[in-house]
Amino acid sequence: MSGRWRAAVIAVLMVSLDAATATAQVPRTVSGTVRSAADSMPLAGVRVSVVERTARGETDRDGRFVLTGLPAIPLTLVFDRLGVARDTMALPPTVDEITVYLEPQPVMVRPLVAEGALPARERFEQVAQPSTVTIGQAELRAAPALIEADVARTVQLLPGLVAKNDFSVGLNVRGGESDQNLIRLDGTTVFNPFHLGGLFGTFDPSAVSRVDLITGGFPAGFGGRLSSVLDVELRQGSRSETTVSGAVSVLSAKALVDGPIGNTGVTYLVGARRTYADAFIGTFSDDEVFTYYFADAVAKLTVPIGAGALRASGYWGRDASVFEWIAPEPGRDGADLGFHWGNGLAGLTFTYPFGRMELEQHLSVSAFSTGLRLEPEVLDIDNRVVQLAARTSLTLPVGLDHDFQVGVGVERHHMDYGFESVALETAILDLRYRPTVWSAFVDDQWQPAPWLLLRPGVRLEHVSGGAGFTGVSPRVGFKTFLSRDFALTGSAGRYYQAVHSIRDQEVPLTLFDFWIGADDLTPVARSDHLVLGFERWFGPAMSLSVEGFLKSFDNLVIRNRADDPRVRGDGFLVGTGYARGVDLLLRKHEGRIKGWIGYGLAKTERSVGAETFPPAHDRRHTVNVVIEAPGPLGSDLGIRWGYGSPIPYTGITGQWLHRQYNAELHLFEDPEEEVLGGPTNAERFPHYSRLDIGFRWRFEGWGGVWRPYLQFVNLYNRRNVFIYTFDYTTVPATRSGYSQLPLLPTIGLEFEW
Amino acid sequence: MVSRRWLVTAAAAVALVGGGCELQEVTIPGGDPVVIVHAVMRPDRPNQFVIVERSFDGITDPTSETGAIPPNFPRLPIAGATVQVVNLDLLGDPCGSPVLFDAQPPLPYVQVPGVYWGPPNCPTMRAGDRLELTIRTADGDIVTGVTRIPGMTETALVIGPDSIVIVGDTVLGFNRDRDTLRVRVTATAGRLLQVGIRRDGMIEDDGTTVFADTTAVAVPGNAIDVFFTRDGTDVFVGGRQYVVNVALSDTNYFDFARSRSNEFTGRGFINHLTGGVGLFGSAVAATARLAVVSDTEDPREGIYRLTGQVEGVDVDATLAVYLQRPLESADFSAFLTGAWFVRSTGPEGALIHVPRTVRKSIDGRFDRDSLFATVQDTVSGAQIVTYVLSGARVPDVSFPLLLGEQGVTGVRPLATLTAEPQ
Repeated sequence: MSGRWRAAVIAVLMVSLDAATATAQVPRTVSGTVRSAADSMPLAGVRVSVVERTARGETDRDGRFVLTGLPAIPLTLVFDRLGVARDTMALPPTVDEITVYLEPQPVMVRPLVAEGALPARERFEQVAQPSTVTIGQAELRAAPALIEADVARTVQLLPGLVAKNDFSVGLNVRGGESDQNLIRLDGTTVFNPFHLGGLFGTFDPSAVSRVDLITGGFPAGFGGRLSSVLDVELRQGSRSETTVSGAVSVLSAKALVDGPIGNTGVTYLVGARRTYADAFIGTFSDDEVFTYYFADAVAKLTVPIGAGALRASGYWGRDASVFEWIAPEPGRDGADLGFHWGNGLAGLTFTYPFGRMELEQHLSVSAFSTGLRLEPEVLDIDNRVVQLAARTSLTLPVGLDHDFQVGVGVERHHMDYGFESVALETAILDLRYRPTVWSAFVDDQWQPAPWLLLRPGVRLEHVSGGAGFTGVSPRVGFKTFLSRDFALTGSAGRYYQAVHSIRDQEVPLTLFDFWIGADDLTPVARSDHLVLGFERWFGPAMSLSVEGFLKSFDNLVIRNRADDPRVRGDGFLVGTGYARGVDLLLRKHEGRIKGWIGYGLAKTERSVGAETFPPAHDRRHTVNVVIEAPGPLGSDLGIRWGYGSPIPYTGITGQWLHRQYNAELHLFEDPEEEVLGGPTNAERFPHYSRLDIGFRWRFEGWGGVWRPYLQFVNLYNRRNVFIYTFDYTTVPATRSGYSQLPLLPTIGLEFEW
Repeated sequence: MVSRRWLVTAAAAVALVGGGCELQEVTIPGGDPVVIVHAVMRPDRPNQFVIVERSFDGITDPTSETGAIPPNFPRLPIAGATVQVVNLDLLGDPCGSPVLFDAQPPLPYVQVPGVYWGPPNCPTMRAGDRLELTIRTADGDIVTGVTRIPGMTETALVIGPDSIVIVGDTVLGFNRDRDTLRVRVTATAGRLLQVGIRRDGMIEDDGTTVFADTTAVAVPGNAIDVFFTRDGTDVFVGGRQYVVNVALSDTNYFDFARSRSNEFTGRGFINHLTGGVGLFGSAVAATARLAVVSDTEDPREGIYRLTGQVEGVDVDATLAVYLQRPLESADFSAFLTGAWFVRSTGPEGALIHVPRTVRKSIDGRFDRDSLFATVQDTVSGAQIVTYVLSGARVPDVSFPLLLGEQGVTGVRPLATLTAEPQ
């Protein structure tokens, strides 16, 4: 017996009368039973070996073992099995039948450290898809943002994305317009997921588990947009306990509840948020009326079904305000000016593995509406989009080196765009679009050699509903490993887009979006991507990716400011364009200090008719530094510094008096000053930079966890130009304007029970 | 120490808050001047004019604000330009080809710089004709534009079951609480239907203008002018007469009226001129008048017969009184109709009152049952005299109503009339 884990061995030698006659020259057979010293129950699976020989055996279900061919000499037997103390015993030549009792011994293992590879590292090693960045919930919540954490604002800090100004979270990805991004929530398309004209995003980071952004060259499984994919995944509700969390900021209050439903394995998550400036002002002021609010809600239900799962996700968001345009008086109705916009969606995803195959079925409905009304029935501008979508994909086992997926889908759009006055009995605009996009794709990630990943694919799309369009979109991606930590990457593909927002992309801030779809007059837009670059890892937690990209745009649908409402199809112009540039992302994924440095170099142009100009998001250089680190007073510190080189705007070169014509008196009167614009986007605003810093603390008490935070947006109060205004009616002419966000301190509190 | 430094930094950051978002004004170089043109050709009018001016460029100091043109003048007029119009579809235009516009206006207008007039009833304009404008300035700028003349064969106002075609100076009855004014035109050419509604006799009233990209539009009688010009007042008020002007214009005017340039992008205005900015359009119009009444819901509303004598002139008129909406309002408007008087100059130069049949809209106010109203009239053209009616109303019976003349020092009593509810 040896070792510090001393085992007590109780050996009862059963003396056989025959044993006394045995000799060393006659092979002997040793047998016996192994039992637990705790309860005398037979122990199966105990390995029994003989030190002096190679013979060995194992106990059966009854704890019995038999060793044959042993010499008739003193032997040393060793008994060993997980869960009992290893033991040895000396067996004299005269004893061939024994019973051994072994002490149970808990399995003592070293502390286990789960070292799953980082998602980014896994993707580096396993996926031939460049231009992809994943942001987890912790990063979403830690990055400083305006007033409260914001998914879209954090995504904006990645290379390849350009934020036109502080007031817009619209995503301009690698030279694309903000309607060219496929934004999905648990697989369901979301139209315009922004509040307050783009000032805030709609996704609550505390309800999101991860965000995947693909800035170009996306694989064949994605379609319908030209520029990027933003895949937002809601987190599943807790499987173990009900959790209540929430947050209060100067903007809004929100609450989120998640947990299991009994022992069914079903989990849920429900969250809601609402701004309260309207209620606050209404409560404490008799004079001031502020009716604007936004609210959103999110829910997810996860139901395990056999080896698969059914996931139901929903989202609802609304911005609304109603102003009393004319006060009602006794005997006379008033008039209210109201506007609203918002989303609603519901998606159902069923995944089920069949052996080495996996089936995914997705059904969803996604709606977006914008409305401006002057009531009663004076003016009504309305845009509604409803998308009904169904798609099926199947992962097939075509070989160990392949991840092969096929899929089909259909997206049916109902889009109405109207402008009428019931009171005046006149309709100015009544447009309807019914594009249906049928799609099928094949996507294969193939590893023909350990150093090479290929991802060929093709997507077939047919747009009915008047468009009669069929397009084939080949896609390919590759990754060549030059070493374990260094790979060349690339992708190329063709992309089509059948639905378009005809917002004026040149306006610094727009509240409304109006969506139209492809038909016999409205084209399907097209873009070709080429991406080449490399990815290099420095240790397990730091990576550098550099990608050059080239993008072309054709059949872009650009709002026609001179549209004739009587002429169908005159609401837009058809343009072309290109974008090219380089994106660099140096990212520290883990550690005491983590974050990223993103740099984007880009040049973008658009051509409409004979005019070629840079779009409003043509920013040559963009730098974002995002750092998470331990801060003072026990806080977690978040820092974001951003720089943007000048973006273009159309200079104002003069003013004139736009006079009204009085047809009764045949004269001109009531002049209004109006600007004269110079060449489109020929001027540039000054450089942009901004430093944000945030501190977050964590306290436990009152049965929960409390996380107060303090943030400073634009810490050095730089006057980044938002818009210029000009006055040419004076001599000399003058220019003034408005800056973007000034230094803005905000506080808030997150909690969790 | 580190913690204290962080706190100081944070406090300093907070102290910096409060800076506004407005950027400091700076001077900038002047812009490029552009020729601005305003002209609407009217085949139903004898006189055509073109306003030619220059845009603000921050270099030339504009003169002070001016009013309507004509008779006022542009702020940066371009004088000495050559302005001509050609009817492209009438080579033998009896007015000439081209028709030259010059600075000499027809009577009663006065000459002002930057306004160019065509000869009376020229150029010849028929529905569908294309007119081309060409302007050459002394600085060498050339502006051209083309308009197609609209045409209306019929303009109908529909009120309730009645459809009335506008012929001449038509006056229609209209109950603002019950009726909807529907305007329909039969067009041979044209694009924008513009309906202007303005109180009769009040040129300074901006009125309400409704645009429609169709040949029909409706205005409910109880409509409120929800746009800025009227600040929420009623389009129609009982006791008032309105001028309804129905104009059909061309595409150029349609685009001019509906489009504006965005202040930040400098884009949006739809310009159909070449070499300049503005409008060379055309329109035809017809005019009718509405005598607007309303339901009477207040006992003070209704018709009063006014009788008496004013300096030897018999007065026998009716005053149809309608309170303005909302009914809590004490203001009213009324139609004064019948045998009335007017001040005139007598044979020896003395001011006298002479009989005159009257139909006019007046405004007044109740203070409980006390009535106060003014009647304005003109003497010798431009001179305005104001008469005052005042008295205490007695329900259902006759009551005296004092008639006086408003002077600089007060009201001079003229007569006591009898007001008898009808």
